[in-house]
Amino acid sequence: MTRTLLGKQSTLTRRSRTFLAAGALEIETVEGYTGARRQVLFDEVTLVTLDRRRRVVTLALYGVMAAVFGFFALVSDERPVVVVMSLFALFACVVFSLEALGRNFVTVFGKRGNAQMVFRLSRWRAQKVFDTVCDEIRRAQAAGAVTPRP
Amino acid sequence: MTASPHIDQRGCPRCFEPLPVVVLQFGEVHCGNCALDFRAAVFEPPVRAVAVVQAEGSAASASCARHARNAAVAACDLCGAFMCGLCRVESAGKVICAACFDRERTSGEQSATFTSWRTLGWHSALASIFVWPLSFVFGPLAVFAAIRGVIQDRRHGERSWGSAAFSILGGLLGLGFGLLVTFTLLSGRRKH
Repeated sequence: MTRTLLGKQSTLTRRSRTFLAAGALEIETVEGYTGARRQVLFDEVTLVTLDRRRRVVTLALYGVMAAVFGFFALVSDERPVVVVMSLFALFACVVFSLEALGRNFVTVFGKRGNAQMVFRLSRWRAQKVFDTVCDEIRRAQAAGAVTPRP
Repeated sequence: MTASPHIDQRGCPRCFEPLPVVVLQFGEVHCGNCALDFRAAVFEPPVRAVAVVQAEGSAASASCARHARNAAVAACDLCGAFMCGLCRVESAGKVICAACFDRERTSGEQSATFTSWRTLGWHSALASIFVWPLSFVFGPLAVFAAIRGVIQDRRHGERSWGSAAFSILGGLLGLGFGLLVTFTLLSGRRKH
């Protein structure tokens, strides 16, 4: 059975991957070395959403860090201190920029469960997955007809 | 297993606060609970009714093995028993009867859990590189887990050669480094 990887979502202890399979989304979640597999059937999907989120606390924290380290890099006379502070400021700026771009979430609500995929940097990719999933769901639900009782 | 009360309710994708369908149907939605703006596509799943045909009673028509009054609509792919629309179960691309489905579930063939060989390969490769005394254990384990991971992924039509290559190379590198350090230490001892 062939399936296409749509997106992922990771935390410190858990990694989830969502695949487009025949008639359903398959979500594989791995915690440690044990994985679990579940499905969200297209016939049971009630809602699909697309949104962008930014973590304000992380933005503020790394913004302050970049400012502080940058300040110390500018005012210090000792070369090693300037180099180290510049590196820390650069790191903080990179994280701040990544966080400012935000993370794009595609969430699929089913009757018995939901699937969520996270896309960093690429809004276009999240939009494409959103459109693909919606098209597949429309096709599957249009094909599912009410079968009358004889 | 109790489901979260939010799972089967349409709502905000961040706080899962239920929202009325009329609001979601606008397309661009603002959640009043967590202030998230999101785009929504609402679907109405079809209602399926199982068609149950009564058996005609003549010898020519096959009836369900479990429900004698219902006409058989299919035969089980595993045991061959005739089954009506109520007994018919589609599982992993096969059409099987309820009894075979229960048997597969209890025997573990329908298990939804699996060992992530790819993850084990990665971690073993890293352990063999950074913890050289254990490289003799983790090095071969990384290679074995990488191969098992490739086989596991191929069953699902995936390609994970990059991940497998890292695990195999890392495992061999760690093993080689462990051998080199051990040999160097032993040679140093002999000289003294």
